[in-house]
Amino acid sequence: MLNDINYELYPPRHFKSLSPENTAKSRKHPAMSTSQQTLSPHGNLATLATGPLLQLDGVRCGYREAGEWREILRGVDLIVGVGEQLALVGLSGSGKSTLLHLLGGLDVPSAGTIAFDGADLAGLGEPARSLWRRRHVGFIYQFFNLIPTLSVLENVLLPLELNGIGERAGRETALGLLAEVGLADRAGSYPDRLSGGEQQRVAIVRALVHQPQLVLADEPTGNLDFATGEKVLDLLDRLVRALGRTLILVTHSPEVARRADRVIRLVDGRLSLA
Amino acid sequence: MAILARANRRHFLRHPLQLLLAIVGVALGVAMVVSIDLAAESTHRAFALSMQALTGRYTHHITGGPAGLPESLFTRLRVVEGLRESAPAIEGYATANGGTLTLTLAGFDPFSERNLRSRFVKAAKGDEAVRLLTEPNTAMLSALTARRLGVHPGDGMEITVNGQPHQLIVVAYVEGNEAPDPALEGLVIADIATVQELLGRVGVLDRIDLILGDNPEQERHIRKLLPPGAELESAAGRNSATQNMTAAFELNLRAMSLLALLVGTFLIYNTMAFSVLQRRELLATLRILGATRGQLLREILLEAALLGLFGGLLGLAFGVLAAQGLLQMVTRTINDIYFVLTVTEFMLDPMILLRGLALGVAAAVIAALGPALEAAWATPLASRARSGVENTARRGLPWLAVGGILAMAIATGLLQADSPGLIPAIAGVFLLLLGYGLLTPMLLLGFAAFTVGLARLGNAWLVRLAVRGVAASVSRAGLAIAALTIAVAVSVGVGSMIESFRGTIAEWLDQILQADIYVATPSTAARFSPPLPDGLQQQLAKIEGVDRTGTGRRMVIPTSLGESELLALDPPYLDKPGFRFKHADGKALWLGFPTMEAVFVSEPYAQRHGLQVGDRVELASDSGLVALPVAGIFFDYRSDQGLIVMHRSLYDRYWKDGVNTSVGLYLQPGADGGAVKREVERVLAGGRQPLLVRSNREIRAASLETFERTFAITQVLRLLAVGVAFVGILSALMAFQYERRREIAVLRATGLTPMQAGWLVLLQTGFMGLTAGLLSIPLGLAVAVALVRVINLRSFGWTMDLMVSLPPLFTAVALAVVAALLAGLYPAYQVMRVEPSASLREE
Repeated sequence: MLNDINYELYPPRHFKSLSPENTAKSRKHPAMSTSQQTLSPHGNLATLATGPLLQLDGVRCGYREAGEWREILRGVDLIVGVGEQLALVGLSGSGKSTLLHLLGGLDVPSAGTIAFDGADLAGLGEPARSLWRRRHVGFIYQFFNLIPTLSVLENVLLPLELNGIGERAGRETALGLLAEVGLADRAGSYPDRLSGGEQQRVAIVRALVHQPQLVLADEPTGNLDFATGEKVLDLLDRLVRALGRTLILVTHSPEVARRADRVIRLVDGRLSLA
Repeated sequence: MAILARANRRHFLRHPLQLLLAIVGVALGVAMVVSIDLAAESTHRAFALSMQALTGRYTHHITGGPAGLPESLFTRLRVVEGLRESAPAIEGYATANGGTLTLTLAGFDPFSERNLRSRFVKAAKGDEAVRLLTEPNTAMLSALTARRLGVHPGDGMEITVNGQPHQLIVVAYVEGNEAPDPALEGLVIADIATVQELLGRVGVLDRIDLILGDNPEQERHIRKLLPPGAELESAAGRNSATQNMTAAFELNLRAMSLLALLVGTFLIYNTMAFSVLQRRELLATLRILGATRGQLLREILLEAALLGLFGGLLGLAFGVLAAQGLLQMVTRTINDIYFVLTVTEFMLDPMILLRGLALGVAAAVIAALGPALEAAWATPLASRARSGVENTARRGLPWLAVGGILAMAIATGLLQADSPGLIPAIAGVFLLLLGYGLLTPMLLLGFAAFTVGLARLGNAWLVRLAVRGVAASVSRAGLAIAALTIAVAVSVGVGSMIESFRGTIAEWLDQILQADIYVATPSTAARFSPPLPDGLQQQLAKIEGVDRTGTGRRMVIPTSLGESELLALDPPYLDKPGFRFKHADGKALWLGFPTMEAVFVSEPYAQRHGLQVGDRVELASDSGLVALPVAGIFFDYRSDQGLIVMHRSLYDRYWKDGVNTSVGLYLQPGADGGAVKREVERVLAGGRQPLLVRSNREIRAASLETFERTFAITQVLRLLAVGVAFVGILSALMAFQYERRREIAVLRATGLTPMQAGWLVLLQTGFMGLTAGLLSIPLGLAVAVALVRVINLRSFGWTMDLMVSLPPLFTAVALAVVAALLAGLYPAYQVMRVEPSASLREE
């Protein structure tokens, strides 16, 4: 089914319709603007200096369990450039998911800084981090995490709605993207009617529909068979590259890691080049 | 935020049972509050309207003693003194329709009523008013009552007054040609002379109503003209005094409705908490996608408000229906123990409905606030892990327990305080319940550890597994058990209170009903006793088998403490006291009764007016004001207004009427009670006035029946509270089992059979029910003590003996276990159907 996708369309024409010139509404919503604009430390729009997208300095993270402090990350330093594709590997329990959650602003480090476009994420505070996440981050999970009470189309429209793009304005974009992953005819279905591969394709569309700067994927093929996984990865790879987005992907699989521009390994809470 | 809203709303479409539980929860809570409020308000309004219908706009009235006022006083005031704004009043009660309908019979003078008593104005205007004066046995009837009786103007109608049938001709409606007025329901008006004749009080008035300017000089002048025993009072004082009688009764009703709301709020909290809990993952995903805390909080609270609104509307419908049933009960209770209420029209006060709806919405929003905050404030990652919530909850338990002990300490202080206030006492009971509820989770953990130890000894691994599961989910299980404990404890407490009350009343009846046979006139109202024919006592004393006779004279007189009931007794024997006295030697007091220049007052009377032995009470007698000391306070349960008792010889010195309202016959040892009673009935059969002859056994049975009727409403509310708690338990258990479904799936995958899984659930719910049942006993007893020793004493002034028997306590434990097992049936069924593979794949 994936072979039916018209790859010639990249960069997808549907994204253009949401550029500031075309959507009056989007002017108020930086998420829909071009990649030249991003969030300053104060949450205002600023022109992006040609620096790294992400910069981690001495990031430490742990939690208290049964009265004892368990450190997971013990000083992670990392620089990720705009448009880079990074594979994050490591043994189970090495802290890959923890790092991914820190990068997505779901958690804050106990020490060190994570700067996105030069702005410290921890300094933003929880409400601003939620707003930042909805504008700049797309998440893809091993277990898809689609909203069971929403149809496929509604699942895709949700990030747009959270960013202030109404259902009508976002519909064309969402349907176009669903068509590109071969699921235009399933737009009205509920997630539990879809196969694992189909659900993950919807999750990819949902993670990209609002054009985030950063796409974070936690073992996106971990729950799929090899062939389906390959097709999903092809899709993710092409969409992300075509859009010039940054992708950080957690995986156990050497085959998957090999696709990335750079592979980094977490060992004992510290990073090493693989 | 249409899609975000849809993501949450559709959750309920996928779980319709839960939606139903949430709405039913709110509806039950609102229905209870609204129905009680409506019933109480209707009675209140009915009372006010009845008063207004009979009194109207007058500012003062003159009342006479038991003998009434002479008619000549009215003529003098109107003609000689020139008080044109005055009207004579005489009132009594009659029954129609074979005794099923009580009517107020009011005498009416069309010439005096121009604008004095507004309710009579319409009647006074028409030509028919003149017919009342010129034609004998004519009357006007309330249009609503006429419709109820199927009577039209021109028809005759039969009424019974003091047991005597009379025929009246209805000439018109009281409303004239205007629309039926609910305030006039049950009202029959006739010419003053006709009513005097019907009531057997020719030449006598009850009252003269007046409109006086604000002129103390004039009031003083009128007072000088009054015969002994008559009083000039302001109208406002009299109405509010009567209205105050039922204040404690209404307050108790409202406390009950507050309890219902408390249980209802718990129910709403549970359902809201459950719905948020089920959506934990959904909400976490929404947070990951960038929905803010504020957005989720708003969503959940809006949802709660909508549920509150729907449930509230449904509750209003239930409440209005239930209120009509409750109104019947409340009206009967008031007629039994306070005063006759002929207006029974159901009043739908929009303010009460609005308040009920607002209460439902507010309770739903407040109940949802906790779960909403928990869901919105958890970090997206932590909210996916249950153990985090449980750990936080466990850390909070000691603080909850400390808060609980503190609340119970304050409650004890409030209940033991010397202040006579009822509201602090009710607050004390609520705090007691709340405090114990807070302590429950800690007690649950203790009991669980004990049970696990027992199960280990008996090698009952399924029991151990079940109880451990309950203890591990203390935040949910604790709440459900606390709710059930409180509901069962209230049931035990109220049950014990009623039992104690019944026991006390039975003992009291044995003490006061010393005569074997009583003869009295049939009276419609408890406070209205018409006199017996002259010479009856002597006539009855001659009957064979009768040893001696005693008499009673019962009436309402004005006193320095307001209108009070006075009972003048002439007991033939003095060896056995007729009352049980408080802190005194009853025998000595009783021996001095015939010669003492003093009165006894009942406990409620002393409580109500702050009287002690030795204090003086001023009574308005036929010979003017007489001040008598209180010689003793006796236990008495006939009314919460209380009464004053004096010996007949003392009464005869100040009051000149010389009549009795009851005669008691004391039989010779070995005399045949049945034969004497038949002989009494034969002697009375020739008389003009039908009289009631009852043995002490019959009076005892009738009194206990009235007692049961009075508490019928309490019993209904008690059952409703348990019902609401049951629905709460059901939703709590569903939440509890929902959280355990993965654990059950793992157990099933490891080899637990579906049957064993079902048993596991029933063992868990049964354990929860047993815990609640056992925990409810000490609390129930404490509530019983508070109700018996504090609430009832302060509400009604009744001291009761606390009586607790074991069977109701066992029943309470059984009730809790059965309720929990019933509530566990559906979750058990669901667990038995779990496919381990599907549940395990979900994560």
